[in-house]
Amino acid sequence: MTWFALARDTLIVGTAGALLGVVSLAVRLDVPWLAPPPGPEPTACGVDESYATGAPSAPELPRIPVDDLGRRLDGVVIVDARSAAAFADSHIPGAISLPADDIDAIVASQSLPLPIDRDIVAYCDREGDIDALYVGLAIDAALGCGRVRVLDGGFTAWVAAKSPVEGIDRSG
Amino acid sequence: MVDRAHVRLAIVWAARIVVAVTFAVAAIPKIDDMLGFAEDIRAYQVFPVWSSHAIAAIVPMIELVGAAAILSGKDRWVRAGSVVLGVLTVAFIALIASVIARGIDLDCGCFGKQAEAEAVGWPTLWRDVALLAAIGVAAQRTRKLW
Repeated sequence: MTWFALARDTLIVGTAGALLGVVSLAVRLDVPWLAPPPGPEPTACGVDESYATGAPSAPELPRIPVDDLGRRLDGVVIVDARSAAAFADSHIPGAISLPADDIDAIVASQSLPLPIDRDIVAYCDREGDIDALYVGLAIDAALGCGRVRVLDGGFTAWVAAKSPVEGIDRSG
Repeated sequence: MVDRAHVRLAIVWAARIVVAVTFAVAAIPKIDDMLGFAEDIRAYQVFPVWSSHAIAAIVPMIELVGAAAILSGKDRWVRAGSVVLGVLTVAFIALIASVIARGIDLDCGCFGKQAEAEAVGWPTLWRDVALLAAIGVAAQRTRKLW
């Protein structure tokens, strides 16, 4: 047997095996052909690492000052923890109303109207009120993403800084 | 009547069966649990990570086809299969040596993920050297008995 014939036959056997391997790979359609190892779990809410609170069971949430929220108005989901009436009267533009009274029922029925891929800021009326913290913790526990903050100073501070608000027209 | 030729034939065929069975037994669980094998490959930290699935799919199939070629009995394919499996075994030996040299502690993955975790070390290396010797014997011609 010549070296050339041996090389050729070896190539045939090797290629046959390789082809079978490629077919076997293709047959498992749910496996990507070239797959990197699974990376770290994507964070559930938002992409800003500085927002991470760590343990969601901590009885406190990080705060965000009014100025920061003003700059990030479009990128975050804003939750109004005050009563529905207060919300209707006037609220931060783009906010969603999730009153502290109702949040438990909403979470229990799993109908949180919140996207999970953005940071969340909760606010209540003023500093010292705990509604925002309550709602924020409930959301944090429900979504499990650790991306929830409380607005420093609440709605009062927001208005005091002459930031834009939305609300029903009270002229009539 | 038993003579040298028959003894030699028996030895060569025994080697062929041992080699073929070893590679088949190694290949089947790796084909079965391809993802687990891909993980083991990544643990060696030799190949680029993206290639682990391709390697996990292809190597066991080559082992299987090589084993079949050796059992075929036709000298032409026995030799080709021996070269293929021999090259694979040399590669395995090199991999194990590199792991030992780098002091990486990992599970061999030689017989698939399900098999008892087998720490890679010198025993593994010597086992593959013995396998290489068996392949050399298995490759001997049997048509002409010397």
